[in-house]
Amino acid sequence: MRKLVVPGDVITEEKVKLGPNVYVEGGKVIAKVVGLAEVENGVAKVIPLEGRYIPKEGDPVIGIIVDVKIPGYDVDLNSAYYGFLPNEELKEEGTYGDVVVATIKRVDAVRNALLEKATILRGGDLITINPKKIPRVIGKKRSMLNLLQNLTGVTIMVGANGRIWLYGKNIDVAKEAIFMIEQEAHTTGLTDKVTKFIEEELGHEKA
Amino acid sequence: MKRPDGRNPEDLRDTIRIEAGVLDRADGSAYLEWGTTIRLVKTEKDDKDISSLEEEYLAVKTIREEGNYKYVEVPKPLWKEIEGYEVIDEYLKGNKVYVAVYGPREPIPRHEASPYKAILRYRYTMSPFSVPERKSPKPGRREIEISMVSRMALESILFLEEFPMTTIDVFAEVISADAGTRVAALTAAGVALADAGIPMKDIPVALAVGKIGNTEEDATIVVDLNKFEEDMPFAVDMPLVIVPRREEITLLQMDGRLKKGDVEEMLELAIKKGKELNKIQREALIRKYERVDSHE
Repeated sequence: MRKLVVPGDVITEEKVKLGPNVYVEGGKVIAKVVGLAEVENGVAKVIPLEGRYIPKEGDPVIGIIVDVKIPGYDVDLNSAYYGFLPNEELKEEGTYGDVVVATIKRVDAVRNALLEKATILRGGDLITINPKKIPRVIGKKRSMLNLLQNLTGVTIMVGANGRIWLYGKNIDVAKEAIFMIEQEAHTTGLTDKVTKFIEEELGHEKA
Repeated sequence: MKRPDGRNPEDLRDTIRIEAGVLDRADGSAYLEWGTTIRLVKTEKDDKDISSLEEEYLAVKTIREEGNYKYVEVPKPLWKEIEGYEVIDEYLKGNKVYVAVYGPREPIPRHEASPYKAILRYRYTMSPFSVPERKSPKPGRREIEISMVSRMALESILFLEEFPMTTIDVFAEVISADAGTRVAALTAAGVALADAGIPMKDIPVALAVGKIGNTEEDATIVVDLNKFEEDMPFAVDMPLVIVPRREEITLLQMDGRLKKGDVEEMLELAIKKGKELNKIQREALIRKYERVDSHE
C-alpha cells in the first residue's frame, strides 16, 4: 500500500531496512520528502514526487553539449551537476548545442557524472518534464512507453533526467499525453486514461 | 485585558491559508495569507452598540462617513456582535507572502560552493507597497539580518549534505505586512522547501509569542501578535522557529523585559500552537495533489 507522505511523517515503527528518502530517529522511520511511502520486503522507502535530477550510475540520460574541450565534452544534464563525455564514447564529432543520449558510467564524490555510449540525436523535438515523474512515463517493464509509441507511432527516447526526445508524425499528441502523465503521476488507472486520450485526439485529426 | 481584535490570548489569527506550488518557474513555492478577515458594516452614525465596540477594540474602526451613515471594519472574532447588521464587504487584512525555492542548482559564484554540503541562501524582502509608508526597495539592515537568522534556522533542518557543490536559493517576498512577517515567511518557506523536494527532518513552523499590556504589571502572555499589539505601551515579541515533531527550537529572538517563568510558559504555548500551524502546512502540501485528482 502506497501512502502520500510529507516530511516528518512517521512511515513505520517496525524494524525495517532503510531505503531512499527516509531517516530513522528513536526507532521510528520518518519521511524526508513529499512522496509515496511504502514498506516492501522489509525495506521502507519514499518515492519522491518533487525534486531536481541527481545523477545516478547506470541511468540513461539526454543531455546537451555546452562545452567542447580537447579530451571530450561538457554535457548539461538538467541538473545541478554536469556530465563529462570523453571523445572515444561519441562516434562522430559533436558541437555546442547537440543533443546526446548517453548512459552514466560513474558518479564521483561531488556528484559529477562520467558518460559513456553516447549518440547524437538529430531532428525531432526535445521536451523537459519533472524528472521524478519519469518512472510513470516509462511504466512497469516499459509498458507505458510502448503504449505511447504504438498508439501514436512516434519514436520516444526517455532520459532519467527529465528530458524526452520525440521523433515522428504525431508529436503533438504524444507530447500532450506525456504532460498529462506528468500532471497525474500519483494517481491510479493512468494507462486507461492515456489510451482514451490518444484515441480521442487521433480520431479528431482524422475527422 | 482584551486583545485589540477580540481574540483570546491563546488564539492565532483567524485566517491562515497556505497554497503550495503556485509559481511555475520555481522548483518549489508557496503562497501564504495570515491575518484577520474583516467585515465592513454599514450603520447609523449614532449607533451606540458599534461606538462602544469601537472604544473597546482598536481593530474596530470607522473608515468612512457618509451623511447619516458610517462604515465600520469588524474583525472575525467579533462577528457575533454584529449579527443583523448590513455587511457591505468582506476581505482579508494581514500578512501576504510569496516564497520561491530554486535548487539544488549550480552555484553562482562558483567559489561559494562547498564539496561537503549545499549552500543555503535565504533572501527576505519587503515590497515597497507592503507597509503604510513606502519602504525603500533597497535591502536594509533589518532585512539582511532577518535573512541571515532565517537561513540559520533552516540549515539545521535540511539534509544539505546530500547535495555537495550546489546552492539552494529561497526567496521570500512580503507583499503585505501586518506584524510577524518573518515568521509568516518562514512558515511559507517550510512548505515551499518541501514542495521543491528538498529532504528535511520535518516541516519547520514559525510563529511569535509575546507579552502585551498597557503597563508591565497588567501584561498577559499572548500568541501571534498583530500590529496593534506590537505597538502597545508594553510589548515583548518573541519570534520562534519550531521543529514540531521533536519540539526543538531553531530560532529564538527577543528583546524586552520578562518575568521569571514567563519564557517557559511562552515556549509551551508556542509549541502547542506551532503544532496547529503545522497541520495547515501539511494540508497545503497534500491538497496540491488532490487538486489534480479532482480534475477527473
